[in-house]
Amino acid sequence: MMDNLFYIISASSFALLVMILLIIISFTSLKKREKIFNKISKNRKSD
Amino acid sequence: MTNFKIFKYANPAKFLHLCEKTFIYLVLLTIIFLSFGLYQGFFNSPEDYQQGNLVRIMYVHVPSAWMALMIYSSIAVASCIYLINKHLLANIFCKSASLIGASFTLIAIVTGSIWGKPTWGTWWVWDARITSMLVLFFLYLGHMTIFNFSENTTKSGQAAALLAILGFVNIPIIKFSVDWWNTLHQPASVIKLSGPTIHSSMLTPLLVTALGFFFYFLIVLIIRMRSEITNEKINNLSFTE
Repeated sequence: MMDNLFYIISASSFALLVMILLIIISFTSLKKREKIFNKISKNRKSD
Repeated sequence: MTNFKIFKYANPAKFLHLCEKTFIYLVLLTIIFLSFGLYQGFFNSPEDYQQGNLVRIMYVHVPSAWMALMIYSSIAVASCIYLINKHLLANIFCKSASLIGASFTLIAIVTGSIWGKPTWGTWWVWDARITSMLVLFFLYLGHMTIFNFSENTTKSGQAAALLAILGFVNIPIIKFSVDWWNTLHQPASVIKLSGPTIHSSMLTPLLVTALGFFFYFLIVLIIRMRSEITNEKINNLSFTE
């Protein structure tokens, strides 16, 4: 029973971890690019 | 072709507007479906008469595998659209969906391996279903590598689209591998012509979780597509400077 629980928890936590990491990576990348875009557009307006 | 209403959203501005309107509903749907499906699957569904509680791994393994196949198929369709109609958004979709598909494939392979150890006595076996899933993972990696290989989105997009279309041959192989060859992996029990052979008390949480995974995919897809559209804007601005 305890052995089974270890396998169930390992599988579900791995899935959850990958899904959370994926959403964090994607969101960070979006924010980073939006920051660069806003910076470039601001510079262009001031020029 | 251009009469299809869906092509109205091939315009990035209209697409972003649609995403903004639907995003919060998708987040709510993901939370509702995933929490309900996983709770039912892990705590309320019955044990399997042979595997006992181990069958609960199915509630993350099977939806991930379905998503991996569905995402690759949608990438193959979008690749055809991109090669024929040159819709920029189709290319952005392929680029954005690739990592999500690779992640679901990885989840399916790893959770399958964890499930395999207590049931088959081994973490890995070069079985037709498992090997073809590994090939799918490498196809996703190749697809992402091509996109990152060149700064020229058009050229890398065309090469990646060709790979996606050629690699699509692997999808029916994955699906029917359990019927065509003698495999250690069990045959299909949900998506089959004669109807599901799994009891409704297990099938319902499985389908609800699968829907939750689908809505999660849409959320990450929107975030990644927004990011890629912003990247295109940055490239265009830098190019005109």
